[in-house]
Amino acid sequence: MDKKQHSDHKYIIALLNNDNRVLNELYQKFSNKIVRYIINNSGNYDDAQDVIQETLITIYRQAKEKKFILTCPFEAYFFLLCKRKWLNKINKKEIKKVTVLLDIVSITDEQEHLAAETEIFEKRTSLFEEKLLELGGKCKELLDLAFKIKKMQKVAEVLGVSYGYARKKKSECIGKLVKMVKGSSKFNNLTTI
Amino acid sequence: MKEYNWSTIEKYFEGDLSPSELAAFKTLMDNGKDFKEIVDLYEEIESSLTSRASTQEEENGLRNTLEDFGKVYIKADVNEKKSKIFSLKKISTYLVAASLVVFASLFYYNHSKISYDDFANHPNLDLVVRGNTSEHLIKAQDAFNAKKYKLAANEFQIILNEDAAKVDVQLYLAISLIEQNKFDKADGLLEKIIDGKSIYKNKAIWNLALSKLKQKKYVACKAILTTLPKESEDYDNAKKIIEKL
Repeated sequence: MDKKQHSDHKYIIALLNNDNRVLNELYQKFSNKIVRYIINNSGNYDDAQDVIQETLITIYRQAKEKKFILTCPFEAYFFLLCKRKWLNKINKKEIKKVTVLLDIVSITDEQEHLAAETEIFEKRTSLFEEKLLELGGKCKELLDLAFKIKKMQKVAEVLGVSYGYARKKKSECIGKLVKMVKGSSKFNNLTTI
Repeated sequence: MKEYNWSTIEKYFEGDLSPSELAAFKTLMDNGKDFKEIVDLYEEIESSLTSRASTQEEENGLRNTLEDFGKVYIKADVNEKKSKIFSLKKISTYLVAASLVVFASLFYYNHSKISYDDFANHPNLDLVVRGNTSEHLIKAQDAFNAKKYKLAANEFQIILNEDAAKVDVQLYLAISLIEQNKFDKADGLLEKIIDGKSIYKNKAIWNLALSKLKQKKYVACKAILTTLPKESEDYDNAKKIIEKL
């Protein structure tokens, strides 16, 4: 599907480029409502800072890995993500939407959809990382190197094994990861949109 | 779960399958939904973890920036609230006194050279964040807020000896040094911040200008102030100094 980029996509580009000027604008414009929301829902300023930062890092990762395109205004999308992250943290998922969204512009289906996409991205990638840690041992060691160095010829040199062996082992280790991820109960709820 | 030939999947993504192997692989993908799902997941896991590993440094850089903005906007919010409460409580008591001070200052302003003390109103620091129990940071903050700048400078220096990259600490060390008239070191620190990309850049420009003002280097002070961008919170004060100079 051809996605039309919204002018607020500049905030996504700013995250990718670590652009101080635009990120300054982002905090200036959007952080206040989120801080108020978190403070009003059993949180404090440190919580707000954590939630905002972690949400922005997730958006950055999605943009980096999946070439995420923002097709709606940033404010509602960002607010939704921060809100849900906070609710997940405090385990109060049943808080009524109407009390939550009083002071924010109306949320469209598209914004809901984009926020849900980002959330699923975050959960899937966290599951991959969690399973990589669980994998442990020689497999993890080899995959860490392979993901970092990328060129398997070099990985083989570092490990002192042949290129063919390194590549075969790498595929088997990713295979193990695939099986672990697919077998996880969390995975079933994380189908891509 | 079924066993798959992972090596073949890897070769497929590397483009190393022969034409006949590739044709067989594609047929398998077209005919088996499960197989296609496995191949897609293999690709997703590899690309996700590769991206994560290769952008770690870049991501840390972004994290530092976001942390700095968090300190400025979210912590600043706390300070703003404190000062609002203060002003509401004390406003009636200080109203008369304050207006007298304003008149006196205006009178004085028009008849004297502008001075460092008129503008060096350093706000209280709020650097000690949750989970950070650094003894030196607490001591430095307390000393700075109590205007014991020599002690504050010593503590800030100790923190920087452990981690020289803390730009906020560099800034507050520089301010503490200006207060002690140790201009060379202070100016050097501030110039370094100005050359960098941190969010403390504007604060560094402002304080470097104040340092020059205190040294009575008025031309340098004015020149530095003209480089302060409009969005800086000290812009209005900078304009006042420029007009007076």
